Amino acid sequence: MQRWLRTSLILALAALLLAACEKAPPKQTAEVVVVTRATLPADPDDAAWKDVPIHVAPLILQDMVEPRLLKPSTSEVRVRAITDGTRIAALLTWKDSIKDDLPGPARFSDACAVQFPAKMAADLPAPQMGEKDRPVEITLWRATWQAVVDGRGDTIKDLYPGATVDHYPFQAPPLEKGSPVQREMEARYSPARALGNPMAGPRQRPVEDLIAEGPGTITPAPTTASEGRGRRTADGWSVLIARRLPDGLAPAKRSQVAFAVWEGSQQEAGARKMRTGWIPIVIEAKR
Amino acid sequence: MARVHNWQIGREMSYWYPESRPKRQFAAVFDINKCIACQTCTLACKTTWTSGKGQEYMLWNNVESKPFGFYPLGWDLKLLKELAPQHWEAGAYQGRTIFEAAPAGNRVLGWRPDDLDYANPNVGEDDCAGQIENGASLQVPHMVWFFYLARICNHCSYPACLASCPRGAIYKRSEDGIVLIDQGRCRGYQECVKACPYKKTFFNSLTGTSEKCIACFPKMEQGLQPQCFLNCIGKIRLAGWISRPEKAQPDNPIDYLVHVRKVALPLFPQFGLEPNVYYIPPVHAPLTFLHQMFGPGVDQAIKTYRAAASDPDLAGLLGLFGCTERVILRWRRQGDSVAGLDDGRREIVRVPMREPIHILPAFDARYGVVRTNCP
Amino acid sequence: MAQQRKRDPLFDYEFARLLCRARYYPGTPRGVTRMWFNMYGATPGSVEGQAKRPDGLAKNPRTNYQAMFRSGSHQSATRGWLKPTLMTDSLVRKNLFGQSVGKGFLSDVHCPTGAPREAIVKITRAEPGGFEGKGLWRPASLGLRPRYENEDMKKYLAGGFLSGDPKKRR
Repeated sequence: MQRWLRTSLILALAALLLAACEKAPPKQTAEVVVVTRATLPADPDDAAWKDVPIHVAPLILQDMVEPRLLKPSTSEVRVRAITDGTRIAALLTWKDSIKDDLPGPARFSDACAVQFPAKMAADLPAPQMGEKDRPVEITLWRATWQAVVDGRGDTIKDLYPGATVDHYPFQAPPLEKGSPVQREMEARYSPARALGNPMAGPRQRPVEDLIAEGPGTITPAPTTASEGRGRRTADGWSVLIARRLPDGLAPAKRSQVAFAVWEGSQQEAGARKMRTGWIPIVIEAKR
Repeated sequence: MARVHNWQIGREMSYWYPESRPKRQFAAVFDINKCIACQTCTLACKTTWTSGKGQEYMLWNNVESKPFGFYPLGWDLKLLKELAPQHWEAGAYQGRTIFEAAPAGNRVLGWRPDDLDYANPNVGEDDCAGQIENGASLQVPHMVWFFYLARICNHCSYPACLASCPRGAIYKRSEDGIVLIDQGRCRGYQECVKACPYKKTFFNSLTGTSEKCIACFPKMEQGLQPQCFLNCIGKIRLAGWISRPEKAQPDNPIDYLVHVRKVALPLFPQFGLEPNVYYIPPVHAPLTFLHQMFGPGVDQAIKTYRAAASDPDLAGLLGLFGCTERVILRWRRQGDSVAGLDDGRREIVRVPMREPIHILPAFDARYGVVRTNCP
Repeated sequence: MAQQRKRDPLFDYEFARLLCRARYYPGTPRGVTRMWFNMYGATPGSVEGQAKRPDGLAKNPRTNYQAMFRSGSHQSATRGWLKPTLMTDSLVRKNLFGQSVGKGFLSDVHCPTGAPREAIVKITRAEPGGFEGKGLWRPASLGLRPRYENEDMKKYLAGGFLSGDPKKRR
């Protein structure tokens, strides 16, 4: 064959192979494989996620304790994970055609959570929220919290634009705004906030760290060190949750991880959720 | 699920937790025949407790006209339909309670009101059942009828809210039976809003927790009646402590009205919560509707109440409503007056059975003029 | 000299003419209607608010006062407080107290009076109710209103969710 023809053929073949490689989806893995990078991405849309292997975790109903979820909703959540040696960032993506990020009576937030055993041991706590004396650490992200962090205000008009309120007693003109007396009166009308219930805000992060020792025991951790960010995708959510590396997860050591997803429009909240059991998680060996 | 005894339905029933009664149980009697729906009670509560952010739509106390009034919309109708049919026989309820009828996966039979269901709190006000035609006249029972139903949290003996909370954020105080939502523990799952048949827990969108009537417990702790009781213009309300039927004390005002004279009845006893706000039924409304709302004791209660004019003890106690801010623990009638007492048998208040009447003759003989009543 | 603002002769009419929602009410016979006192009547400012605001709220843009009426109030058809009596010193009238008849100024006859006041009015349908003039009020569409009762509501009114013989319930 003439040289120019052979070269062209080789070049064409190489181009085809290259094209095929670029279009190939990231590797799917049976476990959650955490890749190591110098820095953690801070955003779900960060390009760093593109070549991270995906674990597709099928979701099952929480049907062990009342109130139980009886009708399955979200079928799977796709998980990617990156570590920088100290912290781990997980990216959860799932399909959810209806955005639920407004609180209200009978309204529930889209949400997701990542759960690790507080202490890695051969005898793991039950994946359904842990067990007494064998706690689990949970980081929870909620769409309603994301909306507040993204700028939605903390007033009734932000939830109901047509609302009109004539008077809050703690905003009466004689009370100097920000004075101890004024703040005390405002707190009296908001006992949840006065008690420091993190549900009540004010909110700086869209995630919360919690500890649980069995169903019904979940409690906010003394502080929330985790960070996160969620973004709406064309057909669902893409949520990044970043926390310190959990106990037992280090190069050449495995741990276990579990996930949960709530679809707000299906009235899912609390125990009414889709979840996984324990999934092995390992940090990819250094190349 | 455990088995507990509910005296209002006259049988054992299922409940999520075992029977555990408080040392004292907060209870109230509301005389529907005296309510004028002035809503002073609603405003007293709103001013005291629910003037905060996220609480704008909440009415821990509300007054709705029956039958066309609801807050939230259709609250009783929806549950009656889900639980139907409800069968009473020989004073005992034979049907299912909302605990026994709990659908699979749930602890309690309930439904979730939409935010729009709270948007018309005054729907149905003064709308009567039937149509007034020319030539209508007044008779008892009324040919067309409505009445006012003032409602607070019933601080039930078997609260559905408490049973439904997956994290035990709702508790019933052992010292007074008042049911509270722990604002530090609630995470806003709204199971309680779904479960409460009376819809007296309310989700706060801005705090992410649910809130409810607290029976003004700081006042009750000091022996003072709640704000909605104190401010009631019509003096329809009396707060106190109720004993179990077998331990009823006739000189305890609530025991006397509920257990001894049986003139005050629970609201929708068939739901199975053993609610502790008791109503004297309206004498002018049809018995079929009242049976559905207060149970079969209505006929006798109305009969007793209508005979109060010749029943000095009952009339006297009814006269004590709204006469003092303090909780009346004991009462007694002495001749022409009635006294409310504290626990040490000391008088808190004494009222005459009848208003003193003075008659001025039409002609004033002293000045030789006719008395006129104008202007 | 400041130009005098030309007052539109119909200005008062525009904000003071009563426009309100009318609905079926079973408690009065056919041919009789009723309206209660309502504190929050329309003002020129609230009328301006409902005309200018995108949400149509009758809210004065400067004072935040919010009216319950797009225009007018239950007082729209009532007379002024001043009586139409000619204020003459020669008017013969009954005295306020007693039965005697007198002449001239008497407060009860010549001074402003609060109530009762009567007027004859004409009621005209202005527009259909509902958002953009369409649809039933939500409680009516849910079958919970008089004359719109669905089967469940009818059952509720009749106490029909209880079964069995009412005489045997006791």
